[in-house]
Amino acid sequence: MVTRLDPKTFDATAEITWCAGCGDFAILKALKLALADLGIEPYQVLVVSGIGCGSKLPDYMTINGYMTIHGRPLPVATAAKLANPELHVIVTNGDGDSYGIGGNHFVQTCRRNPNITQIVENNQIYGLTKGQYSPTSDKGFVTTTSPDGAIELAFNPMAIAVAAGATFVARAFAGEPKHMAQLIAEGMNHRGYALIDVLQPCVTFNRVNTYDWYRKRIYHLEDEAYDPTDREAAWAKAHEWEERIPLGILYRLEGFPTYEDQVATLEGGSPVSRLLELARNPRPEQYERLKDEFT
Amino acid sequence: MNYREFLEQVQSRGCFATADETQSVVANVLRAVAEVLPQGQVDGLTAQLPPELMVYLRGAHQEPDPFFDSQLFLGWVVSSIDATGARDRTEEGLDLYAAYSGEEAIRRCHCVFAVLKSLLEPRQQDALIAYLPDEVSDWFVQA
Amino acid sequence: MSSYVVNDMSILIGGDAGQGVESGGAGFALSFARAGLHVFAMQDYRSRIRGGHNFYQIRLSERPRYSHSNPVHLLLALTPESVALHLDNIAEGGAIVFPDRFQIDEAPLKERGIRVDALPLVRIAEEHGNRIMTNTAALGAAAGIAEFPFDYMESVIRDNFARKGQEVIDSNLKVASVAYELARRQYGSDFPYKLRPLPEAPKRMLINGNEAIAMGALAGGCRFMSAYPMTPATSIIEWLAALPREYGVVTKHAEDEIAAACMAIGASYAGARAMTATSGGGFCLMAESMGLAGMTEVPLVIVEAQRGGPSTGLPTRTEQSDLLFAIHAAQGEFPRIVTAPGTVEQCFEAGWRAFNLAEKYQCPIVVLTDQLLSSSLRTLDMDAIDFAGVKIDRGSTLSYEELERLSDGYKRFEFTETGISPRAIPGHPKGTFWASTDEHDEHGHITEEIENRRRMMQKRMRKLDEAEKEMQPPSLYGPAEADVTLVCWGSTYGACREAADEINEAGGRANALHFVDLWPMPSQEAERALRACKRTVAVEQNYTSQLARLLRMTTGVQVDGTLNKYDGRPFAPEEIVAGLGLAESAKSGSAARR
Repeated sequence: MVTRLDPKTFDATAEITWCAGCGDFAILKALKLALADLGIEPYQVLVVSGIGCGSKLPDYMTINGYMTIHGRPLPVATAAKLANPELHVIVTNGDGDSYGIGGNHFVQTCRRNPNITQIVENNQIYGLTKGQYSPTSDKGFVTTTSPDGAIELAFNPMAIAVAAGATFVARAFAGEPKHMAQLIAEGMNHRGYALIDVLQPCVTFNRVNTYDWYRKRIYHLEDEAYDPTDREAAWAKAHEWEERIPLGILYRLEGFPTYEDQVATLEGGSPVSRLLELARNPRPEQYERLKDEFT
Repeated sequence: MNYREFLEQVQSRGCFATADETQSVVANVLRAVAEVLPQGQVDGLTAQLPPELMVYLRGAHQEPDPFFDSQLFLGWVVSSIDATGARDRTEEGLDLYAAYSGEEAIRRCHCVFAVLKSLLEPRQQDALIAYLPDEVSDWFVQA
Repeated sequence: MSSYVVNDMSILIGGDAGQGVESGGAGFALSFARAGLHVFAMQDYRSRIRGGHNFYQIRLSERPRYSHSNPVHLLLALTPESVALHLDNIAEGGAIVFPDRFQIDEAPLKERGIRVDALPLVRIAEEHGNRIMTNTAALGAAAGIAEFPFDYMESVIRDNFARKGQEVIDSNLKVASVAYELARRQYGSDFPYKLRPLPEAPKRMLINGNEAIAMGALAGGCRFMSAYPMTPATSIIEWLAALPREYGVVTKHAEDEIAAACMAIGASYAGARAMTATSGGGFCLMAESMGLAGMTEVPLVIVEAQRGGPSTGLPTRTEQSDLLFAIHAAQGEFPRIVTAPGTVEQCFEAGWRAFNLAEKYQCPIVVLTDQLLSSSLRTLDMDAIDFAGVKIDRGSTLSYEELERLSDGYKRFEFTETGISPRAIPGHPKGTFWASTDEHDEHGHITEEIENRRRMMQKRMRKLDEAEKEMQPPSLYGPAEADVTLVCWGSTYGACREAADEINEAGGRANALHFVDLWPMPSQEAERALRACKRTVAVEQNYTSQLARLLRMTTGVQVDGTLNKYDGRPFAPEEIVAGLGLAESAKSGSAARR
């Protein structure tokens, strides 16, 4: 029996520095709605972010917030969850943070399946540093660091997540906060790593991928007869982009063990709980037998 | 009022440089309205508004997102502002356009809403206000 | 033979990588430890899996030894190359044991009084087991000519091959005992160095620095370790990963060192005691993470086991060239602690003390070791590893009860006199907080405000002043009055201590001033200790005399000379003694380059 909370429980007083109309406002709202709906209290939540406009999100919510370094929230979050599995761990970071500098950790996390939820604020540009192209910028996107248009093909997070074995792969649109909140809640309920890539317009620097641009292309998988447990279908959907962009849960595998499920040493207690116990009751005699191997 | 007259009035109120820019402003404000006004309500405006404006309202949903707020509304409107794009024109760390884009976006809403109001009966205006997010409805009333 | 030298010798086993030099040597060393002898065993190997020369050097004594010693008295050569490489390092009266099928030029050896003991080692191995047991045959022969009772070798062979089945055990025993008998009969009476068991000796462990650090960490409450394999640090995580499940240590082989460090930070942030271990190259990748921990005041323990640099350098060899890097790594200024244990016992202590320091001062701590200390083995009395003496001190970490008593508005980065803020573990309703690598206020919210920035910078750096109060001053080994003081840090303690002993036994006056805690430098005590010396010579395994420079930076005292070794091989005491005469003055700024 879940007791819903008032989303205002998660409000904070810090001055928000996002530009007017930034899609991050909607993401922040959706996350509060999802947590409130799931009845999770602020003190039970850890939101880890990297560096970037979107990575300031934890500062604007009342939860345990940890704003780390560029590209590195995933290993920090993964280990925090291992150390204290009681925490609800969420990662919020941008497309550059997650798919560029953090790319290695992203791919590893997909195959690792820790029980955390990641919301990527994907605005297809580098906002905080004022408008350079990002891993998800479409080929040909012109910016100061791509004056002749971006040369590489865009990074496809949905495809890579599916290929690497992620067990919950979803996409949302910042212009649809209710749908986004639902997906976030689903992701948090999913046992395992949940990726929600949020298409999020950067109103100041990205003049191409605007709210209207997305609105013209997005459609909802829920409106079609789509089976998210079909990995082949997910692979195909992951490659739809130019004219049609599918939103919703592209792939979902339930019942697959999480990383933590498979760490045998967690069975008797977590690193945090064991330490609390040891600090009270060190029991030094438990280690004496370890000397035998050296004799 | 026909479409051209609508644009001329908006352009004159907002001191926009060109008809093209004005068209962009009108389009984005109305597309934002389409995000919050249910399809049924939009249909009711067909008689009052020139068909070219109805086109911008075509994206209306059966059931708008109840959490669509003033920030998202501004997001749609800000897209029409010729912001810095790829150039960094910061001054003391503040991007000149981003710093004032919020205010500018509200101003643009005022311009479009003012002319829009002139085409609507009070009953229709109230209906519209009911669906606009908080703050946006204030801008509409103030326009 | 008129007189024997009993229980005072060094044995060197040399061969190609893949011939079992290391495994055989380690087992051999253990047999002596079980017999009550003091052992110091050192390996020399290359960054290869097969081929290339490597060797194992075992020093045996009736008193504790802290270093290897040259020359050796018995060379077991599994390849002709081994003879050529080590023949200059054999003492007069010593012997070479080797397979008789090798063509060795015996004349120059005999001229120097070295015994040439050829034996049919390969034939014995092939006849009673397998050619790969040639190293076992050689070890058996060594025990034979030293007339060391076979039982001790037997017990080690039984234990080592227990998992490979009775047949393997039996053939190894057969090979070893046949070679033992043959060697003893043929060469025993002639060989002056003997090894006799000491049954009255207490039971001892034979253990290396990595194992000691891991044990210390475990006893200190560490239950999370993430790491990326890197020589010579890898065995730390491997030891913890192999522990019985009930100890509850979570280990994670991460995708790279950046993830390894960030995971340790994440686990620590959540309230666990977490560590990572690496070598110089991996530590480079962790540099930014040092700043993450320092700025967000999260405890972090990093073991940095130094090896020959720069870049990939000499991966399997030793050096002490990351000291200044460890002290300065990462942009900006924030408190950190750097400590460099010098012996296996000090490694154990560093293992648990590092966590107390990290949690008390809420900062990163680098435990600097090196390849020599990581992998060389020394005998320790059982009670030298004292688990009951381990203290778990969590500093200002708030307990559940303390959190309960908090009034509203917990401030994770509260300004305090010591700079240490009460630390909540996330998960308690009253202890919700923010932490940010951006400059932040007491609540952890991002702010660039001038006054706050000044105060927050001062707050963090005050912790360094606090930590300095509990940094251990350097310790002096040897007589209080000396003509020369060997100033050293980390693992060079062993060779310096032995060198001082040698000088003192020969009638000179020498002592060793050994630094373990290096940052923050306990500068007042360091200065006092240095100024009390007549002549100081910094003995370091690096080119630029990093400790000497650090001491000058923190105390203003310039050492009188330096002895530098940067060839990847550890100092032998004899080298230090010989080098002292040549150590130039370091006052002009250029250290002696050797």
